[in-house]
Amino acid sequence: MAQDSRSSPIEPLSVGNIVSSGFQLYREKFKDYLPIALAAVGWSLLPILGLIGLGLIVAAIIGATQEPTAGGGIAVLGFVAMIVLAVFCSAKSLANSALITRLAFGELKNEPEALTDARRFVNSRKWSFFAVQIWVGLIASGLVLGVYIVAGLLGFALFAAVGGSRGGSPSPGLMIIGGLLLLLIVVAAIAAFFWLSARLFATEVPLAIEPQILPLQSVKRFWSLTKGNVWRVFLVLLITFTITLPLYLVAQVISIIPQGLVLGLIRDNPDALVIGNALSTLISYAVGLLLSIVVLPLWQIIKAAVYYDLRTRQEGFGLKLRDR
Amino acid sequence: MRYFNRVSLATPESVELEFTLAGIGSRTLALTIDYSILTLIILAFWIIWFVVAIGLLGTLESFGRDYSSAPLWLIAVFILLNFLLWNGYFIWFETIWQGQTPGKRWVKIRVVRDDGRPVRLVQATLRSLLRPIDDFCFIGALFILFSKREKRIGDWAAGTIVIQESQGDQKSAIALSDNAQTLAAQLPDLADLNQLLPDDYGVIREYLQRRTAMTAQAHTEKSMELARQLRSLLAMETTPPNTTSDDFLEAVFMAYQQMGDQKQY
Repeated sequence: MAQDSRSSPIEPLSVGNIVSSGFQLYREKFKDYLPIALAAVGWSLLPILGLIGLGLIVAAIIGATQEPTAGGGIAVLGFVAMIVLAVFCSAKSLANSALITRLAFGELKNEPEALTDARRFVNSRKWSFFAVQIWVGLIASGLVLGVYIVAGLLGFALFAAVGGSRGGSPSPGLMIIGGLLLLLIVVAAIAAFFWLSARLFATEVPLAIEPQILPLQSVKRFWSLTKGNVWRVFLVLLITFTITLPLYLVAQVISIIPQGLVLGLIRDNPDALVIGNALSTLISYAVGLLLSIVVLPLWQIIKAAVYYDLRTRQEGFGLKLRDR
Repeated sequence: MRYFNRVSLATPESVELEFTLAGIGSRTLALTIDYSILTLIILAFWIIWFVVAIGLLGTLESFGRDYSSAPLWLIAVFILLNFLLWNGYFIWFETIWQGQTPGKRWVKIRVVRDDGRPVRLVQATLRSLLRPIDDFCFIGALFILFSKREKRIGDWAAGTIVIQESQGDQKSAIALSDNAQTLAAQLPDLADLNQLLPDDYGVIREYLQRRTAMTAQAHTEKSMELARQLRSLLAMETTPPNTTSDDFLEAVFMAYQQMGDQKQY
């Protein structure tokens, strides 16, 4: 196990060490963070269950009255209630995820915080976490739309240039150049997407950790911290994802097996097939949920580690003379 | 950082050495880099081989004899060369670069034997030949994550571990202003430098080395904060006029070094 003589880490971490310390912390604190992750995923699941319940109620009413319009009022009312519920639940879910990051950050800077204190802090900011999510959604969709439009226009211009308006087939040389340019546009668009995901990776973390900060400030803060460090954050994302890849593969296999079994065993019975298919879909959903519960703490810890490192690097976080 | 595994090794000369293990993150990053390079090399090899093989078969045809087994031979040699390239890359680099490949060098990690000695051809070969098994279903990654000394199967077989290279000597030089140099000469009379502990000196040096990489605002704030702490620590009422906080920190840094030099003689 880790046995270190040094007390406070003041040097910035390498990409590999950010990921390694994330995994190490994940192993150490797995039992503490798992229930929080369970709560986070549970809250995000609640609106879906509510929607299913609403659908069943409406169907039951229509079935009882034999009139298709009977459930209309209840459906509309229920839908509005569902939206309110969905907002509340995602705020709770985001607050629980942020709780893991806050606790992990405390561990990283060697000042662990009590669970109840940390929980009180993030719960008081649950609406702000939701607001951050909205901001990130707006920024991301705006930028993605921009990239699409630019890429689309370039592609169109290219097509027009290569295809020519006078009819007749273009020369092969021109086609090759056009193809290469098109490839370049696609690669640039993908790079832009990765760039964006690095810059918006942990926008809620300042809000989860720092006192007195507003949602948009939190987004701006992370944005400015990643300035000049996009490549580093991107590599952290890439490496973490690569290491968790086996988990995703195992989950994929587990969710495929029941489908194969269903098809193999009850091929001849159409009624059983419907139930079997529903069951296997349910199983693959369950596996997916289980996976997200297990993986969530890891990503939240990685967010804390990235934030810790960016602050160390950009702001000299942790550089202070010891009190005596 | 307390989240890294460390090992103490006893060398054959009975010297105790402490190493920080490379960690899953650095090893995955190094492997990703190596595999990217290797993929490019092999792709280039395929293109060359394809061109050469077509040319060769064309030439053979012009001789008019029966060379119908030639394509099979070409494929056999092709497969063999692929195998050699794939393994040769790791074996070659780990042997001549003392346990490093381009990826490992970039990430600053190194393979060493269990007793800390550099790896040789035997160890590099074993590690490389067992790599497919470790890669299969990411078994190696699991071994690294869950074994105390972060050994994949290839490491167990070869008796090797992967460690982080000690940094430190590659630190950039610290630029010191003239103003600070003048101040450093006066400082022993102005302040009680004996209050300064090696830890404090370490923090100041760390700050001076990293300040240029910080954001402008953080640079200013950190500089003021450290200077303020330092002034109260050294029991100084005020700093001399016309000195910035950075000047002051540089001066303390120099004065402490000079004090250390004097003590040695």
